[in-house]
Amino acid sequence: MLYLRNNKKYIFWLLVFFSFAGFLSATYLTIEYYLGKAPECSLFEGCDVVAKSKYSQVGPIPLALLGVGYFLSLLFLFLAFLDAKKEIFLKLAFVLSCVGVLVATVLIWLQFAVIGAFCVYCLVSDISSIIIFLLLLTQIKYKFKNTT
Amino acid sequence: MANKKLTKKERYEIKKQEKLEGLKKLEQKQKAKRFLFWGVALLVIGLSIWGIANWAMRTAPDYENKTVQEVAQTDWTKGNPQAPVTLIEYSDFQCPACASFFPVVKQLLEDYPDEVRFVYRHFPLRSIHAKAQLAGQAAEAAGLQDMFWEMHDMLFIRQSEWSSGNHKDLFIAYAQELGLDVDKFKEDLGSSFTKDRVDQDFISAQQANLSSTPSFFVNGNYIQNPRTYEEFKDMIDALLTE
Repeated sequence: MLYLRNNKKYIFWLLVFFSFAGFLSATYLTIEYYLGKAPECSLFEGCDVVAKSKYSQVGPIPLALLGVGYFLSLLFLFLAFLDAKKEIFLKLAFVLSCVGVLVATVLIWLQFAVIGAFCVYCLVSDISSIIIFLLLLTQIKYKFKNTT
Repeated sequence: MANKKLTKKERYEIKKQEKLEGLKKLEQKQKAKRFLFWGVALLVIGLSIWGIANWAMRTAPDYENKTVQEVAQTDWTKGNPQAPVTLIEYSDFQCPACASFFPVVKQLLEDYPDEVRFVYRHFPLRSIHAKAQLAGQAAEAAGLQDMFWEMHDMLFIRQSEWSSGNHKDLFIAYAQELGLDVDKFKEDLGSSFTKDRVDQDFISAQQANLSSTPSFFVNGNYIQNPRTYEEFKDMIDALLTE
């Protein structure tokens, strides 16, 4: 069984925290995308080559917007779990997170190996996805231990 | 007896009611708690979207207060001097975004050999790109041997190499590869002449109120950086049909 133990409650708040962090950075990237700023190096910030690369969109949809949907869904699922304590929310979040962690890994690889530049906001989202997946994994493991 | 019985019943009723009321209160309390929980969550999400949008808008570039110095004899220009469109770029050799624009501008000049005149000006962002100033001087030193554009291309193509390596040695190696007089190049690389040339452009960028690279001016007007080659092309086409 997958259930919430009192001493583990902080994990769910951590999940809320990381999905919120991912949501914030994805929102910022989406707004930047729609403001239509092209890549530039600024005196005060880095160079937004990654966020403006050809990998930054899937067809006509910016990847960042998909990120907003993804993190917002996770955020609501975690909040719903904290509120209603129904494990279905956590299971759904885990399925979503499996997809998210794969995408995040590919995006980090693209930044490292293909584009050769980093975008801080993209990395915040990618790393949040990975941490969420790992945190959820500790809960799923717990389920296996109890059912076997 | 009847009184006693009634009191018992009464007491039972009161107890029952108290219990029910207690449950009801608890339910209401829980409901209020849930309402507060979701209310706060939605408020935080809404406020953060609003905050981020505001912040992003405030950092959007200002197009009005940017005026550029006219093209001078001392500028590095490429293309037809009588071209109807003059494209001025303020750029930094170490800036990855500038390197990503390099093939775009190159393509544009190939497609519009007579219609577009291109001007390159230095705007090394020294605070974030420590090697950009010397890279500008390397292009100027090559320019003294009439190879400015060759070095310009080389610096963008091999940006990742010299940005992470020993840049000074690499610039000298590039000069050698381009067939320049290496001794003269070495001397010019550190000279006050090449330094002043880069600095003059830097000052003109500051006077134009620029804070980022690449920054483009088309026929004297500051433009928002086009996101694709097609956007750039459409803009030039629109100017040519005016």
